[in-house]
Amino acid sequence: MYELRFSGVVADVRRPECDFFGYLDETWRLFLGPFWGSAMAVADGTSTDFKASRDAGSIALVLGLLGLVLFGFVVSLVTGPSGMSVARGLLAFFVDNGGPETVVMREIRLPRAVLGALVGAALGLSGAAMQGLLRNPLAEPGLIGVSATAALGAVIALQTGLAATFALALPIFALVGAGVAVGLLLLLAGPRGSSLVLILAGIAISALAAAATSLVLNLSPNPFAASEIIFWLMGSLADRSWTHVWLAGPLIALGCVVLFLTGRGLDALTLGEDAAEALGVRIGRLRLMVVTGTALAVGAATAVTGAIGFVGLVVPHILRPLTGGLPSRLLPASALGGAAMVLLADSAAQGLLPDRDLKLGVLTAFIGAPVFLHLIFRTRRAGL
Amino acid sequence: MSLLSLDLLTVMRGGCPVVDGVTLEIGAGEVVGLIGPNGAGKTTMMRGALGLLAASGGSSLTALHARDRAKAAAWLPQAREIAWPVSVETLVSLGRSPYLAGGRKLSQADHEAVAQALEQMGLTAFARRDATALSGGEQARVLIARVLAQSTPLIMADEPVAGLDPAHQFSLMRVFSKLAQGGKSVLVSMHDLGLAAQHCTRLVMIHRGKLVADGTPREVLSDDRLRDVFQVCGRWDGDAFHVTDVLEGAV
Repeated sequence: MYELRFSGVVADVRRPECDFFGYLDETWRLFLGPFWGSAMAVADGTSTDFKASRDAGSIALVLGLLGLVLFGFVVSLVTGPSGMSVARGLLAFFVDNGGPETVVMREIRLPRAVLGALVGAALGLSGAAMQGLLRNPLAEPGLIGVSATAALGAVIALQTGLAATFALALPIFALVGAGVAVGLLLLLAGPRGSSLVLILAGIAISALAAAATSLVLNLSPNPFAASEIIFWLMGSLADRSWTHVWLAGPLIALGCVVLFLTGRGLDALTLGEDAAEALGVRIGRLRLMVVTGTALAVGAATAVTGAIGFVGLVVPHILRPLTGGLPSRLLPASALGGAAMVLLADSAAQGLLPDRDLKLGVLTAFIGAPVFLHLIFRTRRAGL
Repeated sequence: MSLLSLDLLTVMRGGCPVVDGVTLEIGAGEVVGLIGPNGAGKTTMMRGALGLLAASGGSSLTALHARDRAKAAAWLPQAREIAWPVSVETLVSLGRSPYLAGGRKLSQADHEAVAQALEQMGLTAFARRDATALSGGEQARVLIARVLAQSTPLIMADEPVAGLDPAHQFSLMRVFSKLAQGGKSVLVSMHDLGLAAQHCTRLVMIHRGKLVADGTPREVLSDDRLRDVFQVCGRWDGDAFHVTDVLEGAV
């Protein structure tokens, strides 16, 4: 499935008869508004001063996405089951009135929003970096097996009851799981392992971790633990505290820094591994940076929120045409886009079914599937 | 001045030498055609010389640090890969990456090198087009422009004329000749012996991993080598060389 190439398909994006831009246009115009014009000029290169408009376009896109993240952050702050009005909530947030409203805003909603932004940025950024490394738009951060093993670690913590006795046991077990995955991956792929070997090793580790997770569920004598595990696996930001932020935040930040440093190397990789290496890029080091950066960011994110799928796949996919295609430009845009998507999806999950605890990961999967459907239609139309 | 020197370069694959003790020196101002039948080891020799493959023996390029090597020699692989839908200009600018240490942006000099490379390949009008939406031959020219933008003293190109129309094959070889007149050198592998004879100042013939001939086109393309290595007959017609027939039972 990883052979499905994007390049031929993307060629259609700028043609007027292609629906894709219509779809993008309608979806994003709502949010980007005035920024859209310059972003469009970047995408189709019709502007007179190409370079100036391209730079202006990237800045406009980043500013637009930043605005979207801020918007999502505020929406996340004013969304919740306590039934506080928006004005009262924001007032209690800024002015400590000594009552429960300030506690709700500062100790429940704020860490949830901060965690949402961090996790979203981690997923979007590592998705873009992974796609850049493997030169495949279907790559996603889970491909290297880190999410699956982090989930396995968490499941073991839940099953053994350690998570109930010691609150941090779950995320710590998950982090250990992610660490084991990276170790195994580097062991299997080797120092000079190609990208294909990396994918195969990642799939093998994911499959093994998924099998072990199923085994734990299968043999679980306690139906309550099993249902708890299943709900945890769906991924959610509910009931997360500052402790989770402090646990995952530094690791996510470190991972993101490592990933941001790969931009230039990933750009050169557009020409293929051989050409990039001859351009002075050390491929082995680049691969190591993407793998460890992703493992840190996504491992830590999964450890505190569970598996939130499709963000790392969908966000780079949607933003690529707006950034002019180069990975170095896509990385910051995807980090912001991922943060915005997770924040808005989390608020939507709370708003859609306020009484039923709709899980975030379920909603992101519902958002992700149509993007694939659309990719299928486009591929079929292109006759590939 | 020597731009590339190989000293008994050997590349092994599964215990058997694919490139076997090749010694070669390329000076300034040469267009060196690397010829040999399919599987002779042309690509492997060039990749080994660049340090992209583990090789024994010496290559002046593998001794260099990665970034310095990228400033000394540019490499055009045979596989024409453009992974993402970027503009032609952006793609050609990637050739400047060895000069962009520590996140530096493209300078005026970089932009000039890119513009010149686009012009050399007749791509100025394509600068803003999506590179992945171009035809195969046009993409090949874009990738050659990327190599030219790297502004290295030595260019190593693996079958750059494959897939180009006759006019562009001819003009590419002319671009190489012009670079050689300016003191740069090009090592180019190719299958069109006529084109090689016409445009290369020197031919290097390899067969089963060994260097079997090195000299002017007229010296290298002799009847017995054509028969033994390529299993064809050829004819010189003034300065032009033609392959006239394939030998009985050759293929």
